[in-house]
Amino acid sequence: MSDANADGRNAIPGYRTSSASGTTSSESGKPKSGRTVHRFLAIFLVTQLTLFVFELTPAGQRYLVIPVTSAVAAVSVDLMSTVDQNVKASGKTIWNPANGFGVTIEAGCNEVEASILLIAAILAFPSIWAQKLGGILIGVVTVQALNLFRIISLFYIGQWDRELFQWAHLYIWQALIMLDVLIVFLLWLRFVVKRAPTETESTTS
Amino acid sequence: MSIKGFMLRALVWLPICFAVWYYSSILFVAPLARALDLLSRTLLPQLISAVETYGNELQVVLTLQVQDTSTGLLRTGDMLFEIDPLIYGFSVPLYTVLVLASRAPDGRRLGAWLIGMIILFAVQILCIQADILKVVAIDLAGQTRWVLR
Repeated sequence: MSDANADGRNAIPGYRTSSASGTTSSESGKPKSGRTVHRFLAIFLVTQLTLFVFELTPAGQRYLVIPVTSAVAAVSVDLMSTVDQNVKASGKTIWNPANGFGVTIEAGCNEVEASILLIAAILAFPSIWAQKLGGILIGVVTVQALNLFRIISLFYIGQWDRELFQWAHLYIWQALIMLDVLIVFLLWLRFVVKRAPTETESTTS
Repeated sequence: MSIKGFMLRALVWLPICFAVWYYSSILFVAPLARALDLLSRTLLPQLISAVETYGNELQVVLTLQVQDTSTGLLRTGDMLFEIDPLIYGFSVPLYTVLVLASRAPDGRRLGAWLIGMIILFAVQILCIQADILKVVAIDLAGQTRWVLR
């Protein structure tokens, strides 16, 4: 993953790392790439920790986890009901009365954790606030859209094969959601880097 | 490196790596069991007597003393429970997919993969140990309270 070209195009302030001799900060002589990576990691970890702790607090559960979980359950049921009249729902539980199979959407199924990872990564990368907010909004919507697909697919996989349901639920969908977060972040990075001011513009403005 | 190419390579490697990981998981579980056995017996020597492999799961052996209500004597018995270590291990095939999908030189990829595996092994140990302690301290609180008090 490269963030800037060696000829100075697409330079992000604080992230200009490459040159023939190796870029160093003129003020301190400290390698700029190492410093910016450390800054990214520090903000990424602190933001994650803060948001994960908030998620576990009573306020986080009340104002974030429960509403998001309820919304995910409601939208899943609405989507499934449009194509499958056999689907019934009560609160967080969705079931098929024909075969008795049902799933309950619990707090861990709302992908709040995956969204927190994405938000932390976007906030940690140097960019303007409009880009950060746009990235977070589109990114979280993308993660939640995939999550709806995950819930719907698991509901039908479970009716077909319970063992496959466990496998998909516990392993494969977890990995796919994480892969989705990574890809959304990479696409956002590319968007930000493409729109970053060139080095010439940066120095003249 | 284009993101589209990276995504395509990742999607090709994903089922392969998951299949290899799942069907060879019995091999991955053995070092986890060894490390957890050592750690658990160090943390709670009075309670946990072993952490062993049980297929591709882990079996935790608790040694409990209960009072015989008829004779009043203390009797020792084993209580076993299983933990699925794979729910904390899906990052192993996922990280392998990401390394394989990247376009870095082979040496760098191998180095990154090995470092990643060491970190993921440590994370798995931490998560499974926390799970064991949760089962012991919360799920089996009635039976284990006398030791944990």
